[in-house]
Amino acid sequence: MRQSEETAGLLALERRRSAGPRVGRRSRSAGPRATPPSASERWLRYLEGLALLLLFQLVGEALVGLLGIPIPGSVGGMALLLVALGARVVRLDWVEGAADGLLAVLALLFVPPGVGLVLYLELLREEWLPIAAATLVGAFAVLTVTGWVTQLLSRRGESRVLPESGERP
Amino acid sequence: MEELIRSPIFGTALTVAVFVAASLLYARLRTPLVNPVLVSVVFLVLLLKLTGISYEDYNRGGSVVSFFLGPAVVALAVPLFRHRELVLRRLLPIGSGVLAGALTSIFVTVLVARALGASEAIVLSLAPRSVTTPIALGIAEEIGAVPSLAATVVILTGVFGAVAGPAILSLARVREPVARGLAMGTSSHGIGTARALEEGSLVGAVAGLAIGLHGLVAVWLIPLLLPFLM
Repeated sequence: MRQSEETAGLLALERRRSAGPRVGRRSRSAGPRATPPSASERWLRYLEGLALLLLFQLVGEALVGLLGIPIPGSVGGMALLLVALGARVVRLDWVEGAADGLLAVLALLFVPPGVGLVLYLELLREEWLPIAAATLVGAFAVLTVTGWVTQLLSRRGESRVLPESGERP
Repeated sequence: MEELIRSPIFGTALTVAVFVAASLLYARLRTPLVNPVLVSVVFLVLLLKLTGISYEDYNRGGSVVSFFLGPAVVALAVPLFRHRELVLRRLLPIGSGVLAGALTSIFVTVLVARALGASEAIVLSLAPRSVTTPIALGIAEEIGAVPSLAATVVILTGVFGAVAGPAILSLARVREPVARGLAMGTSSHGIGTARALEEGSLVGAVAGLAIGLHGLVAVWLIPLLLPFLM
């Protein structure tokens, strides 16, 4: 039963896509589609988006390894996806559901590596002062220097006022 | 019971449940002091210590959760693409900001740690403090630091930035969204970005960009400058 529902959703998705890029582009700018996607279609979109993100990470890993660039494959994948979005090889609505979903829970993903500090409690206790001081003073300095430099050069570069405070969800 | 703890479902379920509870607490109290990452990590560390469950057992499931850091980094392309025009127009301030932040991070971190008598292993492991975990691990290996200790310090930095970053920036009168996002991402990588996303999608997008840029810059800068600072 569920199987056939999923297959139906997949077919519907295929049909919509094969209707050509013009339909897709129009539906993106013209707001709501004629038929709103069903729940299973929406979930399929998420899955499709996640598959694309993983695929780009995979290609990123391969490329980074091949070229011997010392950055993680995921950062390479981010750059590749950016290029693919810009070149319209990948459409934004294919990936944005999965991407926004993952980024909404980004903080969760850091919890397990954070718990890794349990392995260093002894060392942290012994050398807590330099570690804490370097972390706190360092963070304070990096935040203010980066913020100031960026803000100063932005103001100088933009004589016309930007509608920058329009951002706030 | 023992078997259950060894299974990945234990760490996965525990991590997600604790984080959901910490997020609910954060939503209720609305103070950055109860940052969900901070509360979850402290709670789980105490739990492991008190029950004697090893990190290895916990992380069998934990690594399932953190696996998604990879696709999440790729996903940062999406907010960046949405704000591409603004980012392209401000390429010079953004590039200069990240470079200034990267230099500040190396100098201040290493000099403060050395001034306070940290051992060489600690100083080296502190150096890639502001760089995102996967890149910091690579740098740590290259400069001869302890990679897993470096990762721990990276998380500590991220949590501090997420807790105090926005207040520090406001105190320093950094109000412009691009500057705030860039500072959060440069200083506190992904954990700072998660916090920056709360200020708006542009702030979050720029923070995400800063993670990648700072990583790229630090990969070259840290091995280059470190010999002069040790």
